[in-house]
Amino acid sequence: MKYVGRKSISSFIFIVIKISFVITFIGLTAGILVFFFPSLHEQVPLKMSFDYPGLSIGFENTEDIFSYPVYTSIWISGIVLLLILYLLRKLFKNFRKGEVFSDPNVKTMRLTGLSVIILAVVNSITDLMRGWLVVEKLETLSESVDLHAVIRIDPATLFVGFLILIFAEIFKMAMQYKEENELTI
Amino acid sequence: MPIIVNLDVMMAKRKISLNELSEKVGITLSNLSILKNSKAKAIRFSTLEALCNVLDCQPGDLLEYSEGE
Repeated sequence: MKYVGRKSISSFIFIVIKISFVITFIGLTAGILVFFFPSLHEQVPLKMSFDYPGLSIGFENTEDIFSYPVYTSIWISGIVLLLILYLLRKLFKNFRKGEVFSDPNVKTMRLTGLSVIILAVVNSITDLMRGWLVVEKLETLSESVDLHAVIRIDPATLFVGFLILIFAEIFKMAMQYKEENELTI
Repeated sequence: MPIIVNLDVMMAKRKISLNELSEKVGITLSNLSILKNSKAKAIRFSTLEALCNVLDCQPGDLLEYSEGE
């Protein structure tokens, strides 16, 4: 099985990332259009659902989902995600070309790691905003239900971010070994 | 790097061109240029041996240690 170069796993992942990038970009653009042109969401029935483990809460045609804090935080998450996809696309494009241990790849990996850590933080803020919205909607149902919006950074995303940063340093070391090997006459 | 490669000095003394040396030593012209311009990070004993053999000199004639560099 070929991992790097043309017709390899890297080449396949590159195509998947490219498609994901385009879909995310279209989604974000559509989101911006709906936000700035309210006439659009008046015509199209909209639903926003918040998923929790074992639970999905949906809001239909509600103006609340277009409130600035909720919408802006989701939008910022989308931009960070788009940046990560762009950086991964750049990285796998180089892998497809057969360039693995190079300075641009180290820089791209470092930026990707940092972006993933930022995404973990931004996502926790987005979840908090959504939590506030759910609490606001549901707290009137019963006095016996105690609802609180809590801030929690996803440890898995944070772990992946730091893992990418460590791999970037390993790539840097490998690049130095490669350079030394190439410059040994 | 404080190690200076005096390959150009020895080549001038022996009146040998880079092309000729490359052919006699059996290393590529680009690698020889890297060595001549002190851009190399390391040199193999086999390369040093071949260079000393062709240029009829000692390793010390080709390599020099300079503290200030």
